[in-house]
Amino acid sequence: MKYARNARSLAALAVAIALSPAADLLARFSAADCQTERRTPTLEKTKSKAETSHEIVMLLIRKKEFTQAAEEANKIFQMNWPSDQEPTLLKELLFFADQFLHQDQAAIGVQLLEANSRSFKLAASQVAIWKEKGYLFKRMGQESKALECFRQAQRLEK
Amino acid sequence: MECEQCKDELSAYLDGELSEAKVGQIRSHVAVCTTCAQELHGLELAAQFVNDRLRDLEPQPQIWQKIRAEISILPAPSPPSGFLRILAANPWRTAAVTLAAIAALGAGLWSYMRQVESRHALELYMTEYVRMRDDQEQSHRQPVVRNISANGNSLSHSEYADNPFVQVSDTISTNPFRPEAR
Repeated sequence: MKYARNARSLAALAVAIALSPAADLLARFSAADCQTERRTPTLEKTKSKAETSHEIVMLLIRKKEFTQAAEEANKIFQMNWPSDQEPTLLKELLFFADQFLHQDQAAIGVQLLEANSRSFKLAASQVAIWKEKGYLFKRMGQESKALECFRQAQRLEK
Repeated sequence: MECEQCKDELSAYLDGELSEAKVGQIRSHVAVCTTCAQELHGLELAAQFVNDRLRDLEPQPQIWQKIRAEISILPAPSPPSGFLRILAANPWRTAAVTLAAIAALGAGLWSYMRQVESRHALELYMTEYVRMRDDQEQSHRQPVVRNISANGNSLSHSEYADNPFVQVSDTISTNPFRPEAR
């Protein structure tokens, strides 16, 4: 059943890439997700939506539509996640921040981290977010802000 | 002895400041020189005049009263004001204040040293992370080797590498929500 769902979603993605602008992808994937909604438990459904959003974010980043990409990325973290998914979400957040950095869009990466840091409750997650934010500031040449971020991380680690 | 030299030394002669030899020379010259003898006589009279009236030249008691009155009119020197007055009034307090100042200085120095150390530790902390991330970034720039399936008909494609829905085991996914990544 899972393979069938994935194959269907893949087909939807292929068609969406071929025919539509990236901004329309979410609607198409949401429709695809709706078809499996009745058969999946809540977490699986959330993960499925997150998978879709992840791909849309990556497409938008490739298309240099960074603001839209950040907005789409925010949706992932605004979903109703159980607390045990925090490590996965953290990995995702740091990954996106890194992707923005690769595109010389560190400022958007910082915004993404700031906008979603409240979703993370674990001290270790907060430390990782502060450090990454500091790193992005450092890469932007904003030394004092970078130091402040690392100070926060250091304070949380003690 | 010449008259000029004698006249120059007459005053010292009268005050008894000359040597015996000099005194003898002056007496011999005055005995034979009328001008110098008259000069000496004039000086002796002047000295006599001053000595006779020395008592009259002493200040009278009224003068002292006037001086005292003038002094009393002058404003009294102001005592040390504010903080200095407090210090001057109580030596123990002065000592305590001095100790407190030294303690404050020490505390300030200690705090400064702590700040310097803290800053150094923070910079080290930041540098370690930045170095680690820079290394990661460096490795990210290397081309990722993907194991494309041999038959070429599978769904593997770099475009879908991150897609969790694509069931390709030969791609490296960065999507943490992808089933095999969970």
